[in-house]
Amino acid sequence: MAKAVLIIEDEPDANAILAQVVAQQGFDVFQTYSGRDGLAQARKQPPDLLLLDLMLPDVDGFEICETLRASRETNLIPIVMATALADTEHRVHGYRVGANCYVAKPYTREQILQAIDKALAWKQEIIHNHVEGEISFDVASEMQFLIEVNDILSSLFLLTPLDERSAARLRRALLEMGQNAIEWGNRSQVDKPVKITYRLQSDRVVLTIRDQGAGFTPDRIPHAARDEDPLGHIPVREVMGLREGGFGILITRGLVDEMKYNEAGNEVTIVQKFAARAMAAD
Amino acid sequence: MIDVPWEMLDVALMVYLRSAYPDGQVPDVVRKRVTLDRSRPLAELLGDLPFERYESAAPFPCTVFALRLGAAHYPHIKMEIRPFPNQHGFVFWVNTHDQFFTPDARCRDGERWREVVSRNRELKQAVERAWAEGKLPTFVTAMQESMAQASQQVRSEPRSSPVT
Repeated sequence: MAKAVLIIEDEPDANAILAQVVAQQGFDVFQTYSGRDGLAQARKQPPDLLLLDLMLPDVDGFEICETLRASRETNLIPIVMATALADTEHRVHGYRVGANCYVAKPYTREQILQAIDKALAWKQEIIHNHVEGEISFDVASEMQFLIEVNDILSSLFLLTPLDERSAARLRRALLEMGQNAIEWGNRSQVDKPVKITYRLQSDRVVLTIRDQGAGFTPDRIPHAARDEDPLGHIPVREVMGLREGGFGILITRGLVDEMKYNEAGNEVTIVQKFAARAMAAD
Repeated sequence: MIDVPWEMLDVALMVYLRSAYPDGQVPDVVRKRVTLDRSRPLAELLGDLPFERYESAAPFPCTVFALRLGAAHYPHIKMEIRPFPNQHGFVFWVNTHDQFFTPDARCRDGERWREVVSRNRELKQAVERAWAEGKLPTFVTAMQESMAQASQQVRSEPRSSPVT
């Protein structure tokens, strides 16, 4: 049986050419021309792979990708973004919402086929090489980190009873803490990887994020929000010339079941329980 | 440096302007931009005004050459000459130049902006189709070329199938 590829692309010529490229490789092709139709089709009959344009007239491609990744039924669809948005900012956003590959127009036939092969291989790897117990890996860049977060969430959907709401919260928590580790802990130095460890237990997942910075005392950061005074840090940030924000730790604390820093302050452990969250959601 | 024949550029410009300004009212500033110094080699001309240049990563790291020709309804659209690994070494491309802004649902002018974007896409498609009909290299014709080559290869050496 041939694998099914769903195309969501509103430009008829680009849609047709993608369809021809994948049909030539022996895939079954399903073409849709709007975000809403494409999303409905993907939910109704999850394809083996999705080729996704981003600038769609109704629902944009980023939102479609994020929606599919957030659902247990559609989380493992390999997604290739094929788009005219070629800049790094959009590329990072694509990986942030869960793309497996990102190909900028005008792409070549070979680039599309390579992206398809890579995205299909990702799914096979998640299914066949999943790790139960503990796994550690280093990430050196924001892009790599975003890809790893997606992989972690996909593995959790596959291996655990984690519900969709908890998965969304855990994703946000991971993104916040990972960003902190890369940006503040390691000062965005790519030669200093961030170490991520995740351990699956019968009722929970335990994630540890460790940077190579000097560490800090999380309750004593003047430019970060605190429980007792969530907005008190804003004037401090203005004086320091920092962008709006500083809520990462506070938000993360509210998203997960447990969160704690090590003594040095360069390693954070977050815990999400499966059963407790599932019951709370009920 | 990419080698664009003058004849191709002439046809590309004529087709573009006819589609972008259907009433023939091409603004003076655009007329000036398409009045190119034909005594100079085109390859040299691409490096000078009125051509704009920018670096792109697609389909590989390269320099893109653009002429801001606009359209009757939106002045920022560009006609681009983009390096591409096809028979000619480049494709003509319409850059709608409207990807920097996505209005949210509450934006008062959101609907009007979406109409502009929609018209830009229609124009892009009309121009690129007309170029292809005029035998000019476009993204679609380059992809078709690539698929035809792959078909020939498959006939002599079958590729592994994704069928499971």
